[in-house]
Amino acid sequence: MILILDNLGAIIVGAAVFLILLVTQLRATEMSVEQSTAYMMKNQASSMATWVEEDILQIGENIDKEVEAPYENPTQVDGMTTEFIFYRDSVNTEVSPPDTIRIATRYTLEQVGTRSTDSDTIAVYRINRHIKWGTGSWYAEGQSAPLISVFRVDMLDADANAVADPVAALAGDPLAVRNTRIRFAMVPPYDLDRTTLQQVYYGSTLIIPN
Amino acid sequence: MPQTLLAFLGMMVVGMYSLNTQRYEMLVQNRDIRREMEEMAGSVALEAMEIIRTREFDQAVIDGSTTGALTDLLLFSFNLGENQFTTGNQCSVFGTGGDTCDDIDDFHSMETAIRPFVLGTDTVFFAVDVDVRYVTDELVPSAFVTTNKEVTVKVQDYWVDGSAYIAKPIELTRVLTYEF
Repeated sequence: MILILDNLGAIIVGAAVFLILLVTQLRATEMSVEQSTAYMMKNQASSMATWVEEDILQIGENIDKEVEAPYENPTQVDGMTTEFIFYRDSVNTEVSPPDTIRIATRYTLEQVGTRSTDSDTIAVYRINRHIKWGTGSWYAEGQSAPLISVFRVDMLDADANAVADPVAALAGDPLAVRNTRIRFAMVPPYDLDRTTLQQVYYGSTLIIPN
Repeated sequence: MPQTLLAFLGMMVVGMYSLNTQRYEMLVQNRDIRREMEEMAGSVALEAMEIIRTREFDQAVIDGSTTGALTDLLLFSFNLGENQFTTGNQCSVFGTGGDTCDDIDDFHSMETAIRPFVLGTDTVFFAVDVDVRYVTDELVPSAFVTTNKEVTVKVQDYWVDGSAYIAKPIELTRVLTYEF
């Protein structure tokens, strides 16, 4: 007891130093994990943006837009696009007459869980990609990471306003739809209590002239 | 006395370490938020550019006075001085007024537009400014009329209290060419 009382000051200071070091070290570790998850999220978003962009660039390939729309209207539910189907034609010019086969691509949004943030609970999705050749049946051909929190496809007019019924608009005026805009956001793969960004928007909102 | 000094020194060292860690955390957080803002600003700039790109090259084209020949250069809008085009338009397409901005140079130094970026249930606003000038075929600024107009869209995040995460506006430049 005497020993403790004799060194009370040193014990208090030592405990304070130890606690400060512990808290600081814990926070530094948390930050390191946060940076890693943010990097993983960006990586996944970048990868998804690449294949989506490749797909969207091919919308309407070899299809006369004055005759038919190379897509179906995106299905929008609560501000999210739950299904989007678009077409392109593959033409074999080595035979006469040229042989044409229609390739349809379908994106569907599938909920895979929920994520709690400070203010509310958000649904988390995965995008499933399916392909159909001609009159064949749909088969799975890739999917995104199950980290999607926002996914939205819009067909834009010349004023960058979303066209409500792009198929009908295109039937009336082939120039009614000028661009395809795709926006999506992702959540980090791991939940941290003090994450700075609980959702990350991936930059290159894909605006592709039709 | 030496013990007190040592204790004081120990507290100082861990205090500084803790302070530096917190400071680093703040920097990282600010950087992350700034990057997100820059990504969104880039998207808004692209959208604004697409709006301008779909306009006619010049008012003369809309009026139908062009003939598709090199003499069309004489018909294109041009002012001597710092601004080659009329400034201050309140373009209806950007929701700033009632001016019909139907050709590219109508957007030059237009009234600053505030554009929303909607992502899910969140919305961030961005201020959009546009500069237009003539450039040569080598993309060098020209003091005379050419068949190329260089459009620069500048985007800055906009908050009611006047603060901003992006230190310098994001700039997107495209050259739009008159097709004969």
